[in-house]
Amino acid sequence: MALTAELVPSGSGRPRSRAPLVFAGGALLLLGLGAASLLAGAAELAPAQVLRILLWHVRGVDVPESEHVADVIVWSLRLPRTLLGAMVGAALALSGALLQGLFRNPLASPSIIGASEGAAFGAVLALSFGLAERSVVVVPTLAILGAFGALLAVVRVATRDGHAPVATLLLAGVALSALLSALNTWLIARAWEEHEAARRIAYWLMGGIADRGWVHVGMLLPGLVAGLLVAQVHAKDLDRLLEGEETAAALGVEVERAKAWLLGAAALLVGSAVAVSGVVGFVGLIVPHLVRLVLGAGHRLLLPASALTGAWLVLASDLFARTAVAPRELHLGVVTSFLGAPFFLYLLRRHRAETVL
Amino acid sequence: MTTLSLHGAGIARGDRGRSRWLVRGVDLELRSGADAGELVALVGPNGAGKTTLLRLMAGVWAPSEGAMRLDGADLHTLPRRRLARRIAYVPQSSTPALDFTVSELVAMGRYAHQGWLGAPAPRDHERVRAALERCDAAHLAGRSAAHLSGGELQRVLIARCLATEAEILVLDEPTANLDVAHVLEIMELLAELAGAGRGVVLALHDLALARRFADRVALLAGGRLVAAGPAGDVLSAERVEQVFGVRVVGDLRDATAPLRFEAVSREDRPPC
Repeated sequence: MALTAELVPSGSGRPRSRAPLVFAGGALLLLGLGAASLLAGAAELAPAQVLRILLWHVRGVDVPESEHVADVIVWSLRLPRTLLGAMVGAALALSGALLQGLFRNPLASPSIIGASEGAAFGAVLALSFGLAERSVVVVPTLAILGAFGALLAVVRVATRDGHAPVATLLLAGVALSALLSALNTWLIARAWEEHEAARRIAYWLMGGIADRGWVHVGMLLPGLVAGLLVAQVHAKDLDRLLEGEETAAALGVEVERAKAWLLGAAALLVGSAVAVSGVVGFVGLIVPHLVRLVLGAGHRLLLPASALTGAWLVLASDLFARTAVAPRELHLGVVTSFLGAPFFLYLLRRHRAETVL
Repeated sequence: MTTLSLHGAGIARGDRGRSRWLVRGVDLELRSGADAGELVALVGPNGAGKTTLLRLMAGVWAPSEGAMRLDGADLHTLPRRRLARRIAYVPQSSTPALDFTVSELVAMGRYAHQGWLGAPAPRDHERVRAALERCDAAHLAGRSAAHLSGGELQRVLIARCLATEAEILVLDEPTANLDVAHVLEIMELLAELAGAGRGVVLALHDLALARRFADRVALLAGGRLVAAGPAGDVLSAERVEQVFGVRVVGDLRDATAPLRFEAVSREDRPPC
C-alpha cells in the first residue's frame, strides 16, 4: 500500500480510476477463460461447433441426432463445470472479503478459520446418512448451517470487543478445523462398509468441480445471489466496522444487526460453495488481498471486484487442473492450495511484526 | 440550536449480580448553535469515568439509569443513522483501517447521509473537501491513512466529524500522544469550531489546557460529577488537591499565568 499511496500525490482518484480496469479486465478474462474452458478437453471440438450447440440450446431448437455426443460434452459436462468454476470462485472470494472485514483480520478466510470444514461437516453428514438423496436442497442447507455454526463458534472463542487478533483467530480456526475434520473422517470410516459411498464422499471432500452437472449449478446459485446482495447492501457498514464497533456505531451503523447479516451472508456463500465443490482452499484468502492492492480498502468496490476476480481465478485454476497433466486431472483444491499456501505464509510473515502472540 | 442533556445519567457494567457503576448521577448539558457553541472539557484522574461518560454522550452506550436527551427527545429512541448525523464521536487512540486514503476515511462521515447502495453525490465530495480544508488537511487527501503522523491523523478524524455535519462533537483525549505544537493546533481548531457554533466535549488530562481553552470544565472523580462550570470556579486549588492529590503552584483563575503541580503525600491530602 505504501507504494500506491506514494505514487499518487493527491486527490481521491486512486481507487475509482482503477475500478474500470479491474471490472472490465476481469469480465474479459472471465469470458476468455470461459470460452477456453468450453473448448478444452479430450474430445476436440471446433469453436464453431461449440457455438452452434450453445445457440441451439439458447433458441430452444432440437439438437440433431448426429451431434448428440458433442452436445452431451458441451451442454451437460463442460458448460456446467465452467459456470461452477466461476461461481465457486466468486462465492469463496466474496466470503473471504467479508470475513477479513468482519474480523478486522487480514488472514481470515473460510478455509483458515474453520468455516469450510464446518460446511463440509454438514455436507458429509447429509451424504453419509443418505439424506442427500431425498432432495437436492439437503446438502447445501446442511452445509450452510455447518458453516454458520463454525463461524459462531469462532466468533465466541476468538473475538473480544468485535476484534479477533491474528493469533487467536488462527488458533481457534486450527482447533475447530481439526475437530471437524476428525468428525468427517469418522463419518467416512463409518460409511466404509458401503465402499462406493465412502469413496464418493472422500473424493468430493478433496475439493473439485469435476463430474458436476446442472443440478449443482442450481444448488449454488441461490446462495451466491443472496450472498452478493446482502454483502453489497452492507458494504459501507464493513468500511466503518474496520475502525472498531464504537466508531462504527457513532458513524451510524446498527452494529449487531449488520454483523448478523454479514455472518449470515458469509455462511451462505461458504456453505453453498462447499456443498458443490468440497473444500477448495485459499481462494478466499488470496483474492481480497490482490484486489485491495489495486482498488484500496473501500468495500463498495472491493466486494464485487473480489467476486469477479475469484470467478476468473478459479476458472483459470480449474482449466489448469484439467489440462496440465492430461489425460489425467489434478484436483482443483490441490491447485488453489499450491497457489495459496505460499501466499498465506508470506502474509503471516509480513504481519508477524504487528502481531502479539 | 441543539442541546444535549444528561439527567441523573448512570451506567453499570459487568455480569449479572456483579455489576458495578462506572458513572452515576450525572447532570450535564452541552449546547450548540449560532451563538451558543461551547467547548466543555472533561477532566479527572485516570479511572474517573471520563471515557464512559463520553460514550454515553456519543450515544454509543445506553444509560442504565437516568435520561439522555437531544433537544428533549430521548437519545436512544433515535435511529443510529439519524444520531450519526447529529453527534460525531472520536474514540481514544482510534486507529483507522490501514488501507484507506484520507479522503476515503473522511468520506465515511457522509455514509449516514447516503442510501445503502448509493454512490457519493457531488454534494458529498464537496462536504469532504470543505471539511478537510477547514482542518487544514486538504493536502493529505490522497495519502494513505496508515502513514499519517499523530497530529495529522487527529486533524483528519476531526475533519470526518465535520463531514457528518453533526452539531455535537465528542472527542476522547484528542491530544493524547501529540507533541506540544500539535496539541495547541488541535485545541485551537476545536475552540474555533466551538466559536463557530459547534458543541464540543472532550476529555483532557492537561488542566492548563482545560483552563485556557474550555468555556466550561466538568470535573469527574470516582464516576461522579464533582463540579461543572467556568474553569476558574471548578478548578479551585483545594478541589484539585482533593481530586488529583497535587498541590497547585500558580494562579488557576488567571488563564495565562504559569501553572505547576507538586505531588502531595496521601496523609497530607484534605479529606474528600
